[in-house]
Amino acid sequence: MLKSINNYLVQNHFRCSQADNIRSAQLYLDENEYDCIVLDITFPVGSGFDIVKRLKAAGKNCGILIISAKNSLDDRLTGLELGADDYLTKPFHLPELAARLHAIHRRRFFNGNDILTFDALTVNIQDKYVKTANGFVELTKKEFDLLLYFISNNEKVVTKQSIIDHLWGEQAAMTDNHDLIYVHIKNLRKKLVEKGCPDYISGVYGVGYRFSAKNNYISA
Amino acid sequence: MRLIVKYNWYTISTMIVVFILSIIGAFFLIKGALTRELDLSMLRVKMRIQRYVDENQKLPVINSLDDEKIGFRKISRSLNAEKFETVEQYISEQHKYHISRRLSYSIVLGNQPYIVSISCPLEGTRHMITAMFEITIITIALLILIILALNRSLMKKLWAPFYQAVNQLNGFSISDTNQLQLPETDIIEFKFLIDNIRQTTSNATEGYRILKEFTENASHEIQTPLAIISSQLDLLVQDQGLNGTQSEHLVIAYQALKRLSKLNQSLLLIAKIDNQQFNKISRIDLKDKVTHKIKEFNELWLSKKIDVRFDLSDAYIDANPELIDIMLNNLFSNSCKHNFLAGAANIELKSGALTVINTGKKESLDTTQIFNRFYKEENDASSSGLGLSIVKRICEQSGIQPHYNFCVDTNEHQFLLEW
Repeated sequence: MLKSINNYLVQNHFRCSQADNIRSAQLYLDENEYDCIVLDITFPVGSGFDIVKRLKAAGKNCGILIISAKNSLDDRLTGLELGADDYLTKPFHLPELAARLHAIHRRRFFNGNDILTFDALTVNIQDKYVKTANGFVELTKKEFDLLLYFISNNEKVVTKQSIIDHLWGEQAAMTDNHDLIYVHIKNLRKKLVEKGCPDYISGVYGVGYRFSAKNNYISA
Repeated sequence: MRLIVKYNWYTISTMIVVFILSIIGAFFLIKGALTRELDLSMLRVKMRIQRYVDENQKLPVINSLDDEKIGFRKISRSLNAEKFETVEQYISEQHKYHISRRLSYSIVLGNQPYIVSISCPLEGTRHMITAMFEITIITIALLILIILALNRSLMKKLWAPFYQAVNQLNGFSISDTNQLQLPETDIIEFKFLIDNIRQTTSNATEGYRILKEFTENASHEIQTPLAIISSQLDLLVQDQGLNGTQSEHLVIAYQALKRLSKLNQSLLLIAKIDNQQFNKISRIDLKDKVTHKIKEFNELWLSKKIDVRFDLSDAYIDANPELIDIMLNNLFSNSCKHNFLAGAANIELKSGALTVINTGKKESLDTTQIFNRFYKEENDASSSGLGLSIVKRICEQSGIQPHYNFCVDTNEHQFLLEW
């Protein structure tokens, strides 16, 4: 689990240290400054909550994302009250984790006010608009979220299921209808191309989509 | 038959038998005593006669005013023994027969033997026996009344702990964590009963708690391997060397993984509901909530071109907001999932009732099983069969009665919730 998270995040251009127990985690945290930590609180010995408390006590400005097997509101609230930035319940999609980490990072270090640039796109997250050299791209909320999700995982394959889970959250369980995202992706693609962007989105054998500025992926 | 009736039946019938026996016994004893008394008095008369005869050498004059009747009769030869007997005698004054006691013996006066008979009526004993019967009957009646009244009040008082315990047991629910409030008593039998009830119920609750804990723990434990599989697949799918067939395998693996984790989450949710982990109750504005939900689901319905109508009026319910949210999710998504393309759905909210109607399969679902776990229509692989079971649990928890109806004419499935 630790390895695969590390693997994916490294591929996604994060720099990561791994710790598989509380003590080594504490050591890393004492020695280095991190932008964000991903904390699994499933393990019974030495609740991960203690680390959150200690980090907050040390006054470190570091984003915290808690991963837990427990999807209970109480745990979630405890985590967030202690100062965690986000809470993710197992099982989750790695692209989702990456997107959340990007979001935390943006919130923490740019007050969410940053302008994200991706290739020809300029994305203002606060005001939720997207601009290209040819002007604003009118996107619905879902399309905007979808775009942001793609940018957070650019050059990676994101599965249809992970997109559904990301866009519809809790209600995702309510549908197995993958056509739902097809419409959104089609629209997003069309709108971006209309404004003179290259077609960033390519389908991957029915598994999902890849968002990339490089054109060396063969669309399937 | 109530215990007290049975108990009374036994005590009272035994009492009546004992009384009757004692009356019979008393009758004979008293009769014997009276007879002996009479016999003695007759013997005294006999001695007086003897003395008179010895002194005067003639038979005494009989005083007819006395109760004893004395008669002398000449006989040929003297008897050698005196004889007591009970006889029926005609009493001329009263013109009727009376039972009397007679003593006959013989005396000799101037070589002439006489038979002397002294008789005395047994009048007194008869009256005595009547009186005794009356006294006994009255005593029995009084005793029965007293015992009945006493038993009734005693039973009420003595059996109070029993009824309290049984009433408590009646309200016992295995999923309820509250201990039973069993009464304290110093009656050994009830103590025994109550101790056993306490033991059994706490064993049952403990067993149930362990089972629930197991379910919850198991579900939690399953989450981590699921997360591992999911992350491994997410990594695998990044591989640029994947071909079409491999991707297909991956898609299938993803789908199975999704189903498994959905199933696990549903089971976990049921365990949590059973565990009373959703006991924070607040007043929910259902109109607001349903309106919000309809907005969320609009896109889903649209994607299947389902015509959704709704008619919402103000309604409130006191329940757990999380659970109500889940319940609405399940109902609304069913109305979409089990609907056909370009079908219809109708949502109606009134005070105390929510109805979700949707077109769908042209036959009724099995009404006896529809709310059971893992109930699903055949060849429906995508559904876990837990959705409605969760709805039912939530309804139970929130004091809602769920009903299902199928309208044959319009092929409409109707879910009605009332509270």
